[in-house]
Amino acid sequence: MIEVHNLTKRYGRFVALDRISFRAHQGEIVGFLGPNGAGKTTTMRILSGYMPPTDGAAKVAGLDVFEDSLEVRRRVGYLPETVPLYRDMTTRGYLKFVAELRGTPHPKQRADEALERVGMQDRARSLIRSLSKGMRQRVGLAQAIVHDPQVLILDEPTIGLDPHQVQDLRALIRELGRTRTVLLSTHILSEAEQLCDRIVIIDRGHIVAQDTPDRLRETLFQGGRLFVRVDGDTPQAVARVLGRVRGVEKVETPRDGEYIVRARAGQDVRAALAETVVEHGWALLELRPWATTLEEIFLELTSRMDATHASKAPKRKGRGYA
Amino acid sequence: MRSVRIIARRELTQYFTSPIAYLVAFAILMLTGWQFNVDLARRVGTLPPDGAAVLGAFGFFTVFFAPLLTMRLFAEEAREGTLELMLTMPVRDSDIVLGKFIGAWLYFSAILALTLVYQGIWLAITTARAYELRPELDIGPVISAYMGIWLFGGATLAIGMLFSAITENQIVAGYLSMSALFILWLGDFSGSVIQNRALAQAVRTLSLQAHYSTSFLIGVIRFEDVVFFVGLIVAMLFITTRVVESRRWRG
Amino acid sequence: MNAQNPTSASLREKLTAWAGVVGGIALVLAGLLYLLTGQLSAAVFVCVLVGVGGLSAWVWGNPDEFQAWLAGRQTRYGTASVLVTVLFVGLIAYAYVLVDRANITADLTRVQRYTLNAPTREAISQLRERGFRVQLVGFFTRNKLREQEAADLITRQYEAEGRGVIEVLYIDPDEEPDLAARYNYQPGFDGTFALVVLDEQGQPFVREMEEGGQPRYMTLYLGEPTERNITTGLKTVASAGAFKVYFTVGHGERSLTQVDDNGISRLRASLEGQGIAAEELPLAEVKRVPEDADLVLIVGAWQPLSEAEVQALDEYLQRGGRLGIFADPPILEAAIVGEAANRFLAEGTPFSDYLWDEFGVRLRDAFVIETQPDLVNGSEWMPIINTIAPHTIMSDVRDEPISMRFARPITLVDAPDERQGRYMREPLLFTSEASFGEANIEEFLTNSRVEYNPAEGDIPGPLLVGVTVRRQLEFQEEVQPRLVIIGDSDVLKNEYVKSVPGNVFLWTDVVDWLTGFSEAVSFAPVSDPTLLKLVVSAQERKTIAVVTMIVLPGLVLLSGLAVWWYRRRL
Repeated sequence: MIEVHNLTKRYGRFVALDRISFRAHQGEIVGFLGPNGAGKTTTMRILSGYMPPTDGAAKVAGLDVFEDSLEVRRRVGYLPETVPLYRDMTTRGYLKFVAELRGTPHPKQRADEALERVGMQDRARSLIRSLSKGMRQRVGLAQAIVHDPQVLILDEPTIGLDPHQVQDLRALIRELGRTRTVLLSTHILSEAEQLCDRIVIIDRGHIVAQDTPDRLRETLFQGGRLFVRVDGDTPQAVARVLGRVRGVEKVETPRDGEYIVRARAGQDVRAALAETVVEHGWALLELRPWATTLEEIFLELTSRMDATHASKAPKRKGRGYA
Repeated sequence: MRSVRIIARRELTQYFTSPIAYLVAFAILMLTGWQFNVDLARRVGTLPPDGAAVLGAFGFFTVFFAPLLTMRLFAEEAREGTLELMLTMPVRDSDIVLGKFIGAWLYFSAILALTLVYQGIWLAITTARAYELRPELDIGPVISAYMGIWLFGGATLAIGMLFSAITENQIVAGYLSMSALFILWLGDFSGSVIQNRALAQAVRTLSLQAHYSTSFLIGVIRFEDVVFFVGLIVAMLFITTRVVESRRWRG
Repeated sequence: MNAQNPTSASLREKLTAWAGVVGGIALVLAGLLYLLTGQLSAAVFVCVLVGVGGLSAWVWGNPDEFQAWLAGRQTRYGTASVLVTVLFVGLIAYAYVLVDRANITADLTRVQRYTLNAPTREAISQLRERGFRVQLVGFFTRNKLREQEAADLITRQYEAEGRGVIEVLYIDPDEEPDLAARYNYQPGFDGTFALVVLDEQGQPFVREMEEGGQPRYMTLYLGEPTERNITTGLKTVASAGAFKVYFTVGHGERSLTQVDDNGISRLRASLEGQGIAAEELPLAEVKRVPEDADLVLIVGAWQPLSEAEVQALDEYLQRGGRLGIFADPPILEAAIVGEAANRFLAEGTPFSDYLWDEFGVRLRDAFVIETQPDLVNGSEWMPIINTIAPHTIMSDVRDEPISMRFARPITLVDAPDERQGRYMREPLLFTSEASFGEANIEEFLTNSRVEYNPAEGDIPGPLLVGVTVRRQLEFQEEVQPRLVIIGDSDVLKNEYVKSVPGNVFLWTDVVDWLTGFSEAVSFAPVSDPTLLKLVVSAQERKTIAVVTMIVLPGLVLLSGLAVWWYRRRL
C-alpha cells in the first residue's frame, strides 16, 4: 500500500531525508521510530500529500504522491502531530466538514459512525474547545478515519495522553490496523514494540533498520555482545582482566560495575568470563546478552550512525551543491 | 467548486457563530447610523437626498473593520495546525483561498446589506408624503455606490487575507493589513503629500478610494474601476495561493 | 571542492534568483511603458534589456530550477513561482491599462449627469462639420488630482465624442509654469478649464508674442469643468465658425495685418481665436457685399465712399446687414501727420447724407476737447468716457474705462421723419460734461488754438460718441439691420486693445450685439428633480435617529448575545 523508494527531502541545504526506502502492506501497522528531528514527520507529510519530495518516489495505493496528490489525499487519513481542530465547531460539525471536503457520500452519517468508532457519540454536539486533551486526540483520529481511508498516517498519536487514554487509543489503532495500512510514528519504544507489526528506525534522515520487533532484537544479538555486572575491583582493573580473556575483542565501561564485552566472531566467551571473575574472587551479579530491549537496540543503532556520519558529513554537503 | 462552497460555508458559519463578528456589525451600524443622521440633518432644507453619502463613510470604516474579519483566516489556522489538515485535504490550494475569501466576502456583504435600511429610510421620506417640490432619491448612484463599495470591500478583504497568510500571528496580520489599507486609503490624497506629480498620480492610481470616490459614489460605473477591483482581488488571491502553497515547500 | 565552494555557489544562486525576479519585473514594466506611451522609447528598450539579462542570469545561475520549471515540475518554491506571480500581476495591469483607455462608462444618474447631453453632441458635430479643432486645457496642480479625475469623467467623453476634433490637455501650473502662462493661466484658475482653437498644424492661435519669444495663445476661459461651461465654450467656437466679418479696404482704413500700435491685428486675432473668420472687403471692386457677410466693419477710413459703395452698403443693410463704423474726426490726425484731410463721412458726402436720411445719425465735422482737470494722460485730445448709457450691448455692468483719442461727436435726429422713424437710435457712449466739440477746424489748423465758442458752432458737452441703430419693434419682422457707430477708431487699435480692458469689452460687446453671437451659443440646462432640497420634519428625524441608532444596533447586539449564550452551553 505504501511504497517509498529513494525518497529525499532537502530544505535549502539541510537534508531532512536521504534516499530512504521502505514498504508497508495492507493490514500492517508500521511503526516509525526515531528521535526528534529524525525525519519522521517529514516522511509522513510527504506521504499525506502535504509537501512534495525533492527527489525519489513515494506511492500510496499505487499512486504517486506528487503526480496524483489529490487522489492520494482522498485515500489517506492523516493525523498530524498537532491535532488539527477547529475549536469553535461542534464535534459532529467538524467531522461532517472534513467528510464533505474529502468528498465522502453521506457525510453526516459518516461523521456519526466515526464518532462511534472512537467512542465519542455522547459528545457529538459539544464544542471542541470544551473537550479534554484525550477526547480531542480521539476526535482527531475520528477525523482521519471519517472517510474510511485505506491508509492511515498517524504522527505521534499518543503524545500527551495519560496512561489510561494511551491504552484505549492503542487498542483503537490496533483494531483499525486489521484491515488498513497504518503508518504511525512514535518515539516511545514500548509503544512501537507493542503495537507494530514492523518497525522502521530512522535517524537524521537515514533508515537505520527495519524489521519486526522480534527479528530486530535477534539480528542485533548476533553481534555477540555481553552485558556483565561485576562487584569487585576498580572498573579499570576489572576491564583489564576481562579484556585478557580468550576470545574477547573489546571491553567498554558504560557505568561503574557494568561492562559490555564484545567477543570475536563466532566465539562464545560466557563460560570463560564467568570463570575469570570467580577466579579473581569478584562477585558476578549479572551476565546476559546485550541489547534485548528496543531501547538498547535504538541506542546501539543510532550510535553506530554517529560514527558513519562523522566520516560522511563533508561529502554530503558537497553532493548537495555540486 | 464544491470544495470552495464547503469551505466558504464553514467560514461564514464561523463568522455568524463568533461574538466578535456581531460586535463588528454592531460597531458598523453605530458608526454609519451616526453618519447617516448627521448627513440627514445637514441636508434638510439645503441639499437633495443622497443615498450614496452613507456609503462613503462605510468605505472609510471598512478600512478598519475588514482586517478584523480577515486577520484570522490563515493566521489562526496556521497556529492551530488546522492548515496542515486543509493542505492534506483532497482540495486545491486555490480552492482553500477562494473559499475563505468568499466566506469573508459574504459576511461583508451581510454587513453591507444592513445599510440598506438607510436607503429604505431615504425612499420612505422622499416618497411617503406628497408636498410641493418633493425631491426624488436618485436610485442610480445608490446602486453604483453599493456595487463600488462591495468591490472595494472585496479588495480590502483580499489584501487582508494576504497578510493573514504571510504571518502566523493574527494581531500582526490585522495590524499590517490595517496599516496597508490605511495607506492605500490616503493614497487618494497623494497629491498634497508627494512632491513629484507623476509619482503622486501613480500612487493615486493604486489607491483604493480613488477608484470609487470619483466614480461609483457619484453614480458612474467606469469599467476600468471594475477591472481594477476585480484585478486586485484576483491578484491578491493568486499571491495568497502562492504564499499558502509555499508552506509546502518551506516545511 | 574546497570549503568555500558551497557558500559561493549558494550566493551565486541567490543573486541570480534575484536577477531573475528583477528581470521579470523589468519585462512587465517594459510592456506597460510601451502600452502607456505607445512608442518604443529608450526606457522601454532598457527595461527589455534588463529583463532579458535578468532572466538569462537566472537560467545560468539556477539551471536545475529552470529545467524543473520547463518540465512543469516544481521541485521547490523558488524564482519560477515568483516570476509567474510577477507575470500574472503584470497581465492584470495590462488589462487595466487597456480598459482604462477604452473609456467604457455607464452613467446611472437619473438625468445622465455624467453623459454628454444632446445639445453637447450637436455642438460637437457642428464643430466637426465646420472643420474646427479645439483643445480643452485643464489647469490642475498636484493638490487637485481628485478634481482632475472627476473632471476627466466628462472631458474624456468630449474627447471620445469629438473623435480627433477635441483634444484634452492637462497642465500642472506648478510643474510647467511657462506652458500654463501661454494658456493665460492666472492664480485662482487651479481646477478650471480654458478652450483653445487650433489651426491647421494643430497649434493654438497666437494672440501675441511676449518679449523673449514666448507666445501667448488665444484662450476662451471656461471656468469649472461642467458640461454646461464646456459646451457653451464649444458652441461659441462652433457658432463663430458660421460667422464672417468683413473689414472694408481702399479708403485708408486701419489695416488688419498691421501689427504695430496703430494697426488692428489684435482684433483679427481675437476674432479668429473664437473661430470667427475675418476678411478684407474691397468695396469698390466687389460692388456688392458678399452674401456670407455677417458683419461689415469700417475702421478708421479716410477717403469718402463713392455713390456706388454707399448703394452697395444700403443694399446690404436693407437685406438685414450689420454695419459697424469707427470713424475719426476730420483734419486732426492729418494736421499732425501731414496727410490729406480726412474726408470720410465729411458732412455733405454721399455716405454722410445716407446715414442721416436713412438712420438719422450724423458724424459731425468736429472733434472732442476735454477740459476736465483729471485728464487721461494729461491730453485734452483724449476724452473721458464717463457715461455708458444703459444699453443692451452692455449686458454686464462694467466699470472699466474706455480709452479714445481724437473723438468725433455724433448728432442724432431730433424729430425723425417717416423714413428715419423706422429706426431706434440708442446712445451708447458719452463724453464728460466738461468736454466740448470744437467745430472751427480752420482756426485750429492755422492758430493751433482751441476755445469753446458756441457762436462758431462748437458743440457743448456731454457729447455723444457712440450710438447703436436698429429697427423699431414694429418694423422688425422682415429684416433686422443693425448699426453701431463710434466716433473714434483709435479705440480699436492694437495699443489700446492690448492694455485697456474696457476697449476689449467694448469691442467684443459690439461684435456680439451686431452678429447676435451670444444668442446663438446659449445652452439650456437640464432640469433635475433629484436636485430638489430635502424636507424632513423634526419628528421624523427623531424617529429615524431612534431606529438607526438604538433599535437596529440593539437587535444586532441581542442576536450576538443570543448566539453566545446558546453556544456557551455546548
